[in-house]
Amino acid sequence: MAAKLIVQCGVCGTEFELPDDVMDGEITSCPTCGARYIVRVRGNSVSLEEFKGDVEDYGQ
Amino acid sequence: MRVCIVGASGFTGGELLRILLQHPHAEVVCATSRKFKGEYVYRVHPNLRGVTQLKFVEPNLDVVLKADVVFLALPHGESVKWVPQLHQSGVAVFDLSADFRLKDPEAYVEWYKWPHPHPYPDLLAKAVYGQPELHREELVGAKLVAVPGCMATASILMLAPLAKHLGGVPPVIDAKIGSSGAGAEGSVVDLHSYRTYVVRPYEPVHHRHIAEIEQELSRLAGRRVSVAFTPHAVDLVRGIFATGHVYLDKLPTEAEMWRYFKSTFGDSKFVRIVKDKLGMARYPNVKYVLGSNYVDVGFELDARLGRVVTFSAIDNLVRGASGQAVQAFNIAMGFPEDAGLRHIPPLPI
Repeated sequence: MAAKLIVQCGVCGTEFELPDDVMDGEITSCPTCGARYIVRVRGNSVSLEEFKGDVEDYGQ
Repeated sequence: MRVCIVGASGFTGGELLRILLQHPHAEVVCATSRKFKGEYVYRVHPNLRGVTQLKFVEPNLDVVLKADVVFLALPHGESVKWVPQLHQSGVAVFDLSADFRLKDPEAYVEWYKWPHPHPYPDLLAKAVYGQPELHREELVGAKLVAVPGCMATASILMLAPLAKHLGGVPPVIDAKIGSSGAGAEGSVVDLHSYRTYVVRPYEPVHHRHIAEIEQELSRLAGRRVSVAFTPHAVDLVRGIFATGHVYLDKLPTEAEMWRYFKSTFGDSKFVRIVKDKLGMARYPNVKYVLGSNYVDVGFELDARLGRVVTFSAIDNLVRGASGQAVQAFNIAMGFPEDAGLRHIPPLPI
């Protein structure tokens, strides 16, 4: 059985699991604080990169 | 375990019945009410129809002492008449009033307008302040527990993670509370016509819960802490939402804030840290705790002003009173902390 892919949220510190078949460039989010990340897969190494995508914007 | 609820016709008494009638380790053997003695409890608490055939009985010591555990859901100033004898008789007492929350006997003169200092300083010293997340070890085996006030619960828990970091400026606490906080026998301003659409301050500068908020935060901080607390009556039946404004010399990072909150509440079954960048609820919301024993806490950082904003949402009758009492009871008696309290808030509501 393949080792679990555990990563740590850089915002709240929560450790969470990524799916075995996670792909480079996939968007993931922390289950606790919702911080969003781009998964970076380099060989056997998996890391998280901050996702600076869509944001909520209320008010004119 | 045989339990008796003294003062069972009010809102918190009704909530104690609702929770304890389904508790796996409790048998409700009496529910007292001077006003409704002889009447089925479901005539006063219609939500309990079909659940129990229990009738209210006259409150007297002989009846009450048939129980192993007594919950006092009496007005402030009434519990103090019961507790000494109950305690002496050996039953465990969970007092939902304020009569044993404050450690300083003189504080009852200032905050509760008693004509004299508390007459039982020895029992004040013995009483455990029943906020489980902050007094869990003291609660084990406790025979006298003072269940915290509702707005005090919301305020203390949202500020507890920062207690050691508070500076010289008193934290500002702005709380909103629903009408059930005024009890089942409110005054004319609690009539529907006057209460609907209400958003107004209540005791804006000297609310009695300040005493226990300051007592607990000072204990956590290891020095005297004052708070600027202003509650508001709002158009809800249940619920408290509290916002804290804390000015610090050095603003923590978001990661530090997460550490403070997780280290304070990490093992809690009932405190949920809600600060989410995704989803329907990104900060606490009364809507998602109603009917439950949960305390949802959260925070935000204001770098411009050097301000930390903290939030908490609770159901005032459950986590602010009866649910917290049962949680403390569970710990005191060695039951699972969430026994009888595993209610998921309904949605939509």
